[in-house]
Amino acid sequence: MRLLGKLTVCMWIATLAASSAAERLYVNDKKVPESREDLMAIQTSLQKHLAEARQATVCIKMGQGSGTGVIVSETGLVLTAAHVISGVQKDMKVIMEDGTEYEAKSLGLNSENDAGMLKILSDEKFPFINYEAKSDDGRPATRVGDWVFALGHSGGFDKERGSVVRLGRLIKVAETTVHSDCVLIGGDSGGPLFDMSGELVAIHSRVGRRLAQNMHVPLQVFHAYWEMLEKGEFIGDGPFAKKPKPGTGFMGLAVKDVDGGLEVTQVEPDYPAADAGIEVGDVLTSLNAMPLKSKEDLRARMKKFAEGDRVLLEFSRDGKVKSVGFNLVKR
Amino acid sequence: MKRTFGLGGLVSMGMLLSCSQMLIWAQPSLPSDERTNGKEVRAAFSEQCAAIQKCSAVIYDGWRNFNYGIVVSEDGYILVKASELEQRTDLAVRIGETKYTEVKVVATDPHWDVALLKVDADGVSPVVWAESSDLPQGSWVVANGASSRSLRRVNVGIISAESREVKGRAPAVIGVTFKPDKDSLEIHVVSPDTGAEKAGLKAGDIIKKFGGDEVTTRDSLIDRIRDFMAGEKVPIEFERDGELLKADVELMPRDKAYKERKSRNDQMSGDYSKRRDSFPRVLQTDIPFSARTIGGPLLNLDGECVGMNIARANRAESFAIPAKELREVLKKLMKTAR
Repeated sequence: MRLLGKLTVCMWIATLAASSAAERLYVNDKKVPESREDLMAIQTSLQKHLAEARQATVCIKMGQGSGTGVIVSETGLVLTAAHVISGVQKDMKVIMEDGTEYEAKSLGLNSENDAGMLKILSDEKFPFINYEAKSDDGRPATRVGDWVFALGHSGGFDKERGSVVRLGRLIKVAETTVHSDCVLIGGDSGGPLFDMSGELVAIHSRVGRRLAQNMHVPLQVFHAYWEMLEKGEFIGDGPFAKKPKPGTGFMGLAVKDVDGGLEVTQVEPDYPAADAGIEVGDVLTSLNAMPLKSKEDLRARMKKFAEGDRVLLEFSRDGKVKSVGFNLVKR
Repeated sequence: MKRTFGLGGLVSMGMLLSCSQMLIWAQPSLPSDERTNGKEVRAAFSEQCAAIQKCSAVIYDGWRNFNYGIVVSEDGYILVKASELEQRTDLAVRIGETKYTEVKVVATDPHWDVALLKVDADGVSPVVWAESSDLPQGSWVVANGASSRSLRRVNVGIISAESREVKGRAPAVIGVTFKPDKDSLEIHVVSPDTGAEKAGLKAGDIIKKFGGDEVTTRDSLIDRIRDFMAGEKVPIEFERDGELLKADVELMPRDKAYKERKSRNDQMSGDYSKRRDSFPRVLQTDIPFSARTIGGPLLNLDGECVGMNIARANRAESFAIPAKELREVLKKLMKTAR
């Protein structure tokens, strides 16, 4: 997988400084704020954009883990960190600022630079941050020293507290990582970093020991891989997510060869086949629309699936043909 | 190699160690003086710094300063974080440039973790209270940073979350657990090296009275414990083999009695306050305190006090008691004093 070319980034930095100068907070172009007026300008900009930013910031829950994400479309497309979703096609929950929960499913991720995407499974219209920036090339204007603010569900969702806002400056701007002194902690991963025009500039990723070491994935990384992420592709080979290995997917069934298919002889409780309603005595006829010939055939085909993969199983029970779909799990 | 932590809680350490080797593209990084709490940015807060210089007190144990306080009267009353006074043997206070070595602990409020100190001062400038402590989120706030012998630095940030109650378990404990199956005060296990063990309590004893009040359920006991500070000796009555016995039990800080494993977030948080929960209401800030820079006033840009910095909770969260509640606490403590 190719990373975003260095040259492109250099050009980008150079052009946007000029193109969106009109929208920039004037204090960004001072070395440091010099007066109370300058400080108030920072405060006013932050407060102007805070409510809207907060509405689109969600907590993401998956198993025991918790992270943050930001909604970027009315239909519920969410940007987050790859290590928060940890894989493609995974089920998770999204919690809005007011505590409303929605089911969600991960789309694609870039495991090399910690970019991830998911989709809320609902027809409702969601509050969102417009990620199409107003500068010419569609990217937000950010330079080292720019004032920024971070949002995130630090340490997990807390309704009384809400998501936590932190103010800081961009300390380093690199190809696939930006650093700020907005101090982050566990649970903030995947949360949004905004500039003082309310533009989304990056997604929180990780921290170092020192308080000023807070790393974020710049939005241009998402832009560079947008279509692949939306299609649900697993990009790269780590370190932020591990590709599931073929042969690790498990249904939780034992079968024997019978006429016309495979008869279920055992159903492992709490495994996906049992949860999907398969019972002892059902006769499996096809897997992902391809007929099942024998026990050997099933075994060979299962070797190609990994945990998290979705399968469609057709079976007959009492003379009726039924089908169920479910995700495989690790044995 | 630098150590990095993933923030979602879903990544293993091995993976995180390897991700610190990413190349940083060559735009020069922001000099530390220009960062949010750097020297040159702090210079814009010179008015507030002048206020901090007057209305914050530096609290010492011998020569070492371990916390700050708020000067609340011209004659030397000072509010401090109470739990930080535990096991300090040689209290001293500096107001302005003068160091006072005769320090009296006048009164404490264990619920808010606030103590009132008195030194023999005359004509020092007390804090100016803000009319309202309800600052909107994103408002600048200013507090104590590091300090040298005569100069206090500022530490700046913003109001970062909703004001609210922060629940928690009783911060002080006697060192016993109760039978898990029923809601009684029959002791199940006495932890070693705790006040309970030193007072001779044994498994099977049933606690009847705590600090002179009858207690029958765990909740009623915890409620009473919250009225005391770690280090205090509390008279109790308990039943053993049908006989009513008395003892004095010393309370201990919870973390000292039970060695609990640090969470991942605590591991990455460095130096946080020993007591950081169970406050009736707090303001939250993103000011990067250490446990040592807590205790002083939280100021707005007018240099007026909107709260008292009461706990460094973790890397990303710091708590302050809102001025409104703090002034009520102060009134009560003053009554005890006069």
